Amino acid sequence: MPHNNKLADALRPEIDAPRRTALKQMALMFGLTVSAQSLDVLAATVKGTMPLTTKFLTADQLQMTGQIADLIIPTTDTPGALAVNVHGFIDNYLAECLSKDEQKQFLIGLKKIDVVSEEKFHKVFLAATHKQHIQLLTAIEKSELGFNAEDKTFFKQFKSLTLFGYYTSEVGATQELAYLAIPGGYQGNFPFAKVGKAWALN
Amino acid sequence: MDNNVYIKKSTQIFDAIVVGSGITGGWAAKELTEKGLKVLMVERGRAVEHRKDYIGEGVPTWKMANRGKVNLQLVEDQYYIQRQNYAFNDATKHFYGNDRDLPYSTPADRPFSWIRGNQLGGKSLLWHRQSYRWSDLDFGANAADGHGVDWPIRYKDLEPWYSYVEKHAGISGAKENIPVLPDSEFLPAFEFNNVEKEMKKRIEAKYTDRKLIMGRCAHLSVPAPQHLEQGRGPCQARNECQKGCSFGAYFSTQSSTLPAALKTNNLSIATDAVVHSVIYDAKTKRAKGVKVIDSETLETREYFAKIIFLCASTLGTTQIMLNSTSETFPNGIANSSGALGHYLMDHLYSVGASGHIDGFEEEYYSGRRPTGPYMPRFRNVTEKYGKFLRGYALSGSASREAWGNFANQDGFGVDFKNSIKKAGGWTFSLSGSGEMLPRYENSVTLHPTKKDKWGMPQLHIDCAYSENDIKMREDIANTAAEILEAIGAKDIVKHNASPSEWPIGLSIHEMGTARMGKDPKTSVLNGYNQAHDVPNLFVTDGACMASSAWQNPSLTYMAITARACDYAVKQLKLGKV
Repeated sequence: MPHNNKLADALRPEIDAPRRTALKQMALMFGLTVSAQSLDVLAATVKGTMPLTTKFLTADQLQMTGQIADLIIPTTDTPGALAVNVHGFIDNYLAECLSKDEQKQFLIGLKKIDVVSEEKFHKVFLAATHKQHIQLLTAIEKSELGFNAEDKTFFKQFKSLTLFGYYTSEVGATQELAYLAIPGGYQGNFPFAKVGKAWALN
Repeated sequence: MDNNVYIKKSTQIFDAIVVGSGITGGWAAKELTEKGLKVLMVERGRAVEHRKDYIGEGVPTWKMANRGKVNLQLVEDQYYIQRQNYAFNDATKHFYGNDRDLPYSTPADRPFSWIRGNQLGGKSLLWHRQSYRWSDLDFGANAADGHGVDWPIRYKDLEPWYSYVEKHAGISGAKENIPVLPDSEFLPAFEFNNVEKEMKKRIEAKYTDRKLIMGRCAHLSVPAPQHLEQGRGPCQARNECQKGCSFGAYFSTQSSTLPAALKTNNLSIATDAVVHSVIYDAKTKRAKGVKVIDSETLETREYFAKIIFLCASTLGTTQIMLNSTSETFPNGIANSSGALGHYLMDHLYSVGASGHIDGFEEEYYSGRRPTGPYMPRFRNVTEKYGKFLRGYALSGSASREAWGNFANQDGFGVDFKNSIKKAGGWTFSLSGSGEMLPRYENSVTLHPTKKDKWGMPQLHIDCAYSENDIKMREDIANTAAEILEAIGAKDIVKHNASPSEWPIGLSIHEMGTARMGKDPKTSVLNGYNQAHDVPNLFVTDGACMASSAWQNPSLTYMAITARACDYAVKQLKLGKV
């Protein structure tokens, strides 16, 4: 998994805390002097927990992927997609497991979201507001605002990758869902309330 | 494992050579060594040690490269056929053959998927472990409708051997007294979940000819003393069996038959040895050994024995036999009948229906059961159905939709995430396992020119569905949907994969091509799996099958192998083989 930034790793569980403050505290802890500018850079890295290197996506595409994934699976009482680096997973998956054609379709899909965003809101997806993001994803599922059935199919695939990346991650499997590596046997008469959430491994 | 067990070169004349180390090879080695024979097991693949070589076992998804998906380039290079198997992933791929090294041909419009498990343990490491006895409805089927030759055996011939292998292997299931599916020697059955219990009730209330029982499988639900003695423990309900099971909770060569064979000190094993042919001695009219090619160095060697068991998998065995030519047998050893290579069958799979079941939100289950509910055959049992000959079973299960199902639902954000956490609704599915008729034209031949990297002539596989098979598939899909409808399922979706979506072979129940029969003029093997033409040559893997029935075949292979071993040793002692 492409995440090389130790500071970013360390901050991951605190993604809801104001990031600059946290970074400053951490920098102080390590006895570092940090300029405002380098704080910006670090904050940007931490915000998306963006890998420093990618395998397939450009930095912008990666960030956009992270944003969309996080809109699908946001942080609740457990970390969301961005915090568990689902975008890094998707970047890797695109490079390792998908065909040239599938890679191409993915980029076309991302591009289309940017195009619609620019048409409607006069800014690219990453520059749009949270509210606008929600409008865009709602529209893609309804094939509205200039999105068509193909775009919806792309979004379904995107969602599928996001769910796969999130729920096979340690956080997704063991914190968000219930995880039993070795169940010890099968129980068929088992009330849902006894576990209270879905199994990660069905 | 004691390294002295492994041999490369040997001039010893063994009592028996067993070619292959999968389900039947393992059983043959166990039975023959326990009866005092010095046995050489010849395996074309590498050695796989129990536990130590289960490198994918217990690795959580987040620690796996690509979360368990196999790198696409590797798949396209080496696993373009094997990838189709449901259990193929990054944690199991090392138990599948490399397609590039294992070429075969088919007619362009008749694809066939040959799934290979070429290592010590063979496909016993990969099988799905469903274990069912046949009945006389099956052994008598060819005689009754005239397709294929009559089986030279009946249920009573195999019954004690079913019991014998079941006790050792460990089969879980419940006694049901169903005539078409005789009960086995059972360990306790796995549980139904509460939705399945309700579906069972509804089905059995609606249909007097159908029962929903728990699938019988070679998993130790509760191990018996003999299983503990084999070093095996209870099933942990991980359902990741194909990665390897260090608990030895399911039957494989490594967990069950190999330890028994090794205990006798009568077993030697030659791995990485591709059997090229069986050597025939025209003077004695016996097989005297096998010629092998070292899979690494390509050197050839010979091993010798008094009797030879071919357990190299259905098509592996037939490929060897076809390639074993001599003046006596110009078209393959023991092939005076011309039946060798013909009557290839598989099971009809990837056809059925599924639907949603309302309610039961308070219900769940814990653990991943390695089996599921099973509806034994009900077509053409007591009365003629009319649309086609023979029949099928339906297997199914009820489960709640999990995260993998949610990509198809609209929505995103907090509510979406929470709905996944709450688990989805219940689905219930029924999918078929149908009998394929034995037909002469479904065949394998040696390609006249193409060879693999070891110099073995490649197989040309030409296999297609008959009209009967196609009609049965349609009936499976329609009937599964009807049953779902009758028990109140919603949003029912029928499924019937085309031969290009689910090529023949992919059910991995390929069988036939060296069939048993009463008449040496029309069959290769007699009622004891002994070649009609060569008395010290036995074939006990799937190649021997004269029909396919509708049950998963491995348990029958085990019983047939143990029975053939018993016969072979008796004949050997009498000096008759």
